[in-house]
Amino acid sequence: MADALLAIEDLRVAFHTAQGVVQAVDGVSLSVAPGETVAVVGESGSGKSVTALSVLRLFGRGDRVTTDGTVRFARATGAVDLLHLDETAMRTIRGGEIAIVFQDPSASLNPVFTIGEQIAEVLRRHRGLGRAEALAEAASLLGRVGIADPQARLKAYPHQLSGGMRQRAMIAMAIACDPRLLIADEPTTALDVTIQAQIVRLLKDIQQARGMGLMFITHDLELVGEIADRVVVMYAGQVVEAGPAAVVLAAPRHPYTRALLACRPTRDYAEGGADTIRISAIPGAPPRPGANGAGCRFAARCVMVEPACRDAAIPLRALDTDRLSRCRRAAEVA
Amino acid sequence: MAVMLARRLGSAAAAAFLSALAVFLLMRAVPGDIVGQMLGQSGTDRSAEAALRAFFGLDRPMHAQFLDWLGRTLTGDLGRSWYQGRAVTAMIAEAFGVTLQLALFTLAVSTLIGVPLGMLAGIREGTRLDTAIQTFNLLGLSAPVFWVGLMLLVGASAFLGWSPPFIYRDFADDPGENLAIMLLPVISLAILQAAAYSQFVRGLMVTELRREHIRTAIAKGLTPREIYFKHALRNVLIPLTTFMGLILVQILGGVVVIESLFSLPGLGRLILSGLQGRDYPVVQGALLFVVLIAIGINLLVDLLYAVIDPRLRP
Ligand SMILES: Nc1ncnc2c1ncn2[C@@H]1O[C@H](COP(=O)(O)OP(=O)(O)OP(=O)(O)O)[C@@H](O)[C@H]1O
Ligand code: SF4
Ligand SMILES: [Mg+2]
Repeated sequence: MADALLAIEDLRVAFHTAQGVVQAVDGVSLSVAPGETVAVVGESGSGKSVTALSVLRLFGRGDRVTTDGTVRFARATGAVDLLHLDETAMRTIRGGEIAIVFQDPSASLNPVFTIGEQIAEVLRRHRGLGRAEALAEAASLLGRVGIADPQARLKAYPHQLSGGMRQRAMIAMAIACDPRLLIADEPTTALDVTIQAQIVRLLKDIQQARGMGLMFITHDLELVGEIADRVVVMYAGQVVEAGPAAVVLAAPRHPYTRALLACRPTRDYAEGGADTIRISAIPGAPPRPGANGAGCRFAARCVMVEPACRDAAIPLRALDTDRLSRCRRAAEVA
Repeated sequence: MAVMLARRLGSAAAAAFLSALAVFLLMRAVPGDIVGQMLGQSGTDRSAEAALRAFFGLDRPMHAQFLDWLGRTLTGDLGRSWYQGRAVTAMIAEAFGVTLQLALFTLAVSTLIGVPLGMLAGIREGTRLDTAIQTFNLLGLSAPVFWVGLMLLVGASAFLGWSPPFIYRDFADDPGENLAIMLLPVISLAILQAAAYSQFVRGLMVTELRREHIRTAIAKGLTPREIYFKHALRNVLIPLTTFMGLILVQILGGVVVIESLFSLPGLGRLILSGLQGRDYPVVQGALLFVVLIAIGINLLVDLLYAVIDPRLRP
């Protein structure tokens, strides 16, 4: 897509560990248009977080990483390749033009600084505000993300807030400088079920109000239907299916997506008692990174597998103008 | 907070009492006493010996001696030196001035060298600079303070033709002389403590820089400077406070050796010379004083902790 806000092309990310090379992301392409919400789904270990971290080059210290491919990002001044941009330019993009909300707000906030300081800091950095202005703006951001009595909360330390409030504070920090792209990596997984929906709604509201692009990583297919324009399904470091969210959810064109849909949590409503939530899982486990056979990576767990599936790597093919599937038998999936 | 403070004070008081008992018993566990010293090998005049024992109160039962000493100590009276006849409190006050200067200088020097070195090694983890600093740490930690002091003394006179002044002078009396006297003792003590600091801070930094909130700081577009010296340092400061207290207590321990090597009239020398003469009031008083200082430092560190770590505030 030429006018994409973010266009990841053939991204490969490998970690060089003592145990060997882990090819965490293996040729992923995906794009986010301005104002669009793209959901990225897939089982644990499929490479969702690594893909997201690659965009801002946020790998950990001590990680020996090699990346390949391009991550094109449309800045106001023109497109840049984030994988090869110099650190100084990268720093103006981080938090200013692209922001990220992580999974665990408790660990993501610095325990020894107040919420106000942690939000104000990013405003001072990117918008050049003074101390007082930045704090005032931080208070209004806290109000925007639905925190009551923001003025008082500015002085709170992270441990004095609930998990949900901490995530709201993280969101306030992320939207502080009006980024063009927001990445949310399972922003509700660490939270109470009752809070999860509120946080998702908040993100969606802000995204719509500000016209940000949103890359939303989740396990929860239910959510995808609610908030995403498009969905990208990942498996073993690759994209296996992509397309408009409603269409993919209604009629998946890859057996993996089909299986994910089949094991969505189902809620049994009990008369006057607690609902029980049943989660079934896809039988088997995804291949360890690097332990992929010659053919389809999903073959070992696929209900539609044929001998030919194991012969050669399966390419990602366009089905219509806006749908992709990495299955030989895409047309037969029902 | 008040409850915590009360509890801390209570346990500090208990520790102080136990230390007083230990100091008292330890002193008496050392073979020989002042009477033996005074009479020497020669005389075995039973009656003179008994008279002297009675004079020093050594003929009374142990518990009576202890309670007597403890009671007077509680009123701030540590008795008089059996040799010099001077009040032990005055002798301690005089000697403590020397020890305190030595300890604080050492603390300052080792902090100023060790903490930045450790930060640097942690930040540059895995580089040659890191290896170099860690080598220094290892050498500093394994070299005995006494040996370092001796080498410095010998080295300075052999290669620089310089020796520290003989006669001790107060800083107030003669700052130049005083600093010249303090130079080598401070360096000998500071090398070990700087190495300890550096090692400790490096470890803290390495762990800290792997924490998730550091990734958040990077994702906010902060500069390495803000990340290292604001976000990481502020967290490292919390355990560092405890460590600083520990270092100070260790320095007080090391001071004894160094004071006698460089003949500085501090607490260490006071205790050693008192010990040689079995001058019980002096040794008991000075030892108890040192222990109380250590307890005080720990108490202070605990309180400081509550100030520095927001998680300990209500
Ligand atoms: N720092 C690292 N060093 C080595 N391997 C890593 C590292 N980070 C991730 N991996 C590996 O890369 C693969 C993809 O990890 P990633 O975190 O992207 O998964 P994910 O899809 O986000 O899963 P989850 O849903 O559990 O968050 C995993 O196999 C993981 O073990
Ligand atoms: S290619 Fe074959 S094994 Fe792979 S998903 Fe399609 S049907 Fe299953
Ligand atoms: Mg993840």
